[in-house]
Amino acid sequence: MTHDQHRPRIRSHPLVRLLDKAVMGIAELSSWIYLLIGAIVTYEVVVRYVFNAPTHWVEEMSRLGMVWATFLILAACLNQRQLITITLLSNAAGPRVSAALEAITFALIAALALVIAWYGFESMMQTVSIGRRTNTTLSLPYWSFYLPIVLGFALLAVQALAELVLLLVFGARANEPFEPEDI
Amino acid sequence: EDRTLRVATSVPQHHYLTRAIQTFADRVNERTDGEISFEVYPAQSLVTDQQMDQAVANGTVDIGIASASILAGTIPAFNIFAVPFYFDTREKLDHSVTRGNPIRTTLDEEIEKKGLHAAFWIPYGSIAMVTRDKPVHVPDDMKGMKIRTFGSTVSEFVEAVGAAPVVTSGGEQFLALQRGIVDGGLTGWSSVTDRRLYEVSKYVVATDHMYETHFALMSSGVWDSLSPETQKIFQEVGEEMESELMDEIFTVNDKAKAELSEKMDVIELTDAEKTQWKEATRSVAEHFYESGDDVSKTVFEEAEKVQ
Amino acid sequence: MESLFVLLALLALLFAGIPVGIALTATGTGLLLLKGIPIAGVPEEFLASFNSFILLAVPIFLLTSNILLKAGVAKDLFDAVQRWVGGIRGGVAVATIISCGIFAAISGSSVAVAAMIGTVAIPEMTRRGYDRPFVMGTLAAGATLGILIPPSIPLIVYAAVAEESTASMFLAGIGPGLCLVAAFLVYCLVKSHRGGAPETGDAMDDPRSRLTLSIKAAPTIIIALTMIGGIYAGIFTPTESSAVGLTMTLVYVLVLRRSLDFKGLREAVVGAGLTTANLLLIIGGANVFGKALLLYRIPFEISNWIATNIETAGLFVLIVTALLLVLGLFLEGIAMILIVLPVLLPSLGVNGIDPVWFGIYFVLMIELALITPPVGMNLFVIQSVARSDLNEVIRGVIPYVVIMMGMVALIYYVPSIVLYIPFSG
Ligand code: NA
Ligand code: NA
Repeated sequence: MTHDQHRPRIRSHPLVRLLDKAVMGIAELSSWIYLLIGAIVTYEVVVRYVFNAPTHWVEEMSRLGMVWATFLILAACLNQRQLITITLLSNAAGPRVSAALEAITFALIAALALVIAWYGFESMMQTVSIGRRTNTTLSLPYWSFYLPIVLGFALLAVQALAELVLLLVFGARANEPFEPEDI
Repeated sequence: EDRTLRVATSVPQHHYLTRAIQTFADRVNERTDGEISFEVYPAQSLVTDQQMDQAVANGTVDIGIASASILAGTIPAFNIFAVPFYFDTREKLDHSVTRGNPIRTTLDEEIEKKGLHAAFWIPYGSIAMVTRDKPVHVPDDMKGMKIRTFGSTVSEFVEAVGAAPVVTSGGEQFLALQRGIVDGGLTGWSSVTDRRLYEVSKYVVATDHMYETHFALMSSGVWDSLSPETQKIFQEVGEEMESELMDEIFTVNDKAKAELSEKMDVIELTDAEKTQWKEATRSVAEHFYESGDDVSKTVFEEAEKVQ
Repeated sequence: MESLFVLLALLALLFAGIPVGIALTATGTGLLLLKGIPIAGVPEEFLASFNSFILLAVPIFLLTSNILLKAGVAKDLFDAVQRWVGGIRGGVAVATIISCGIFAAISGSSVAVAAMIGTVAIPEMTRRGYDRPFVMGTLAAGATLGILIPPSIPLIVYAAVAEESTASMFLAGIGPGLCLVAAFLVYCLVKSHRGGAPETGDAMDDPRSRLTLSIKAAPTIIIALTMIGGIYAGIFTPTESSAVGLTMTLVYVLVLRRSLDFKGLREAVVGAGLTTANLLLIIGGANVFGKALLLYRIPFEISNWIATNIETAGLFVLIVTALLLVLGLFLEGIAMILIVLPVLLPSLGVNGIDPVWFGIYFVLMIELALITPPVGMNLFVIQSVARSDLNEVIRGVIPYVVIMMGMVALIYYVPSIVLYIPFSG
């Protein structure tokens, strides 16, 4: 978890706090989707096993929920420095080198996220133009699966650019380094 | 024009579909004197079946093998092949899916309207039903069974006979049968052997109620970029392959049945039983027509003519 | 030659401290660009990775672990187990391993087990004068059972990448999991009798009876048995099992036990969300990278090389073991599967290695990676829970590392330990 009080002062600038709030708020809402999915999948098991009446919607809606939730939490992972990283060498490096590596990381994330958001957007428009749908009873339009890619990666790009600006212009670094994997 | 086209399939290297597109590739390569060559990526190593049409559209692959079931999401009229017993004989197929017939022409045009092009249709054969431990002969036997399905019209078929359709991902199909999460499943004859479903189900019922076709799908962009000579070769090779494969699927299905009869009980339906199935599932056809868009109505009317 | 450059480029990015998911995506995207493939395929890969009913089990298992952790359920279980076995010399260590085994049957991750059991077991053992490195080692190693005994997030990911059935993978983990529990227990008893534990038995101060304590711990065990039993009996799939486990856990901690407030639930939910997105970013990135590798035919080159140069399955496993040990020093868990597996998968067939067996073997290697320095997540967790010195933890895990290597050898020579349960139904 973040310890805002330890962060350099620029991180408490209203604009930065607004971004933090937005990114974390979206991530929290999205996280609850997983709990909701757990509930509807349990419902599916019960109606199938007990009442022998499987649903038409649980499997597909769960996947859709998973897609939305996961893409929308990506930016928060960067915000909280929760991105699995081999920290061995970068931790051992001096402050200047590790700041430089961090800047490269932010720039790389921003560039990749923009590219993915853009091509995701093009794919989405393509599915809209030909009316692409899933061949299931729900027959969901495919854009509902592509939209979260666009939103999620756009948000990630904004977060990465903000971190880059904070680091390069104000020299402000978050307290937490990136972290190794905790599974 | 020296070109290498990337081809993707979602089934293993030695599967019928991969072999079909490989044969196509070899023949085109030979007739263009090596100008057009192909790299084949089988077993969804490059693209999964769900993404195939999109991957073709955005240029990740030049040719993708997509099924009518997947395409039916975008072009619902393709569900016509899932309307029970409308395409259950060679004769009906010869008057509907082969080139020059109105159904085929209409559907090819629909594909073109979506910015895609079917280099050729790959006949795939009919769909059977495996069941774990219950022999099924008439629709009444299906009451209360849980059946693995794919696609919306296929699910309607299952519901029409009082069973419950269950959506299971392809990878868990074997397990779902083994452990009894489902009581049976609808699938192609070759999948029963290829996915070793005979190890986990005692019976296979030759309902053969629906026809499944696949396509060698290209984007209009890639198709248009080929020279007229190459396009002509594609069309010629495609046409000869279609008629060869149409012959082949009937022998393949018979071979699969013969092979399977040693491993499980193959249940053939009598004419009287088949009539019961047709009666019980008539609502699927009605629903297809009533809820269908204009194209669906057109192909349905054409399909009525070949019954 | 090409493949060497590609792998070097990836390693350079990884060791420069670029997050794993980003490094994989960047390398993969770069390779696609070089080959002239439209990078429209990149978002497509991410979507295909996230749009998966199988991987849906990941957030749900994480959520369950987090909730159990926040609700402090581990103490009930640990007390009950200790009441049963605590009387013998080294009883608390034995109770620790058994508790780890039982929690492993609910939790999909080992760090969750380390945190849960560590919090209650470390004070118990240190208070009684157990040898400190022995305490730390037992917890760090015992917790790695979390990913071998089903459910297991690495096994879910392995199943997704190798296109094996998740349920088969889960069932395959039971045999080796129980063997490893047994091996750990034997070591604990031997070590305790050789001075690791105080000579007197570990009688508890808690006056409550065996029955009372067992009833309190029963829900945890019932949840665990339902989750795996339901898969075995064919009532539900692994993803559905995760959901049923979550629902049962919520009823247990919110209604029966009333030990979780909204704040705790909220933290559990957000924590699980962040970890999930974090893992799925790597999975998406690995899929981009994997597709690029395929376009360059690198896995095929490697399997051809192996086919001509490595003649036996034994040699193959030996070489992969060495590779994974070295890689496991710095990297672990999902990241290890996702970087190595796409490269090796086509090679399994060459020497006739069963992919289900290989998955269990792989998870054993990940367990090792979790407790080998310099980067071993379980070492870190136990160090921070116990507020102890990292060297102490490392000294304590050495015997366990040896036991786990022995386990790898055992399943190699007796593969039915892995394959009997999934294929006997
Ligand atoms: Na586990
Ligand atoms: Na390690």
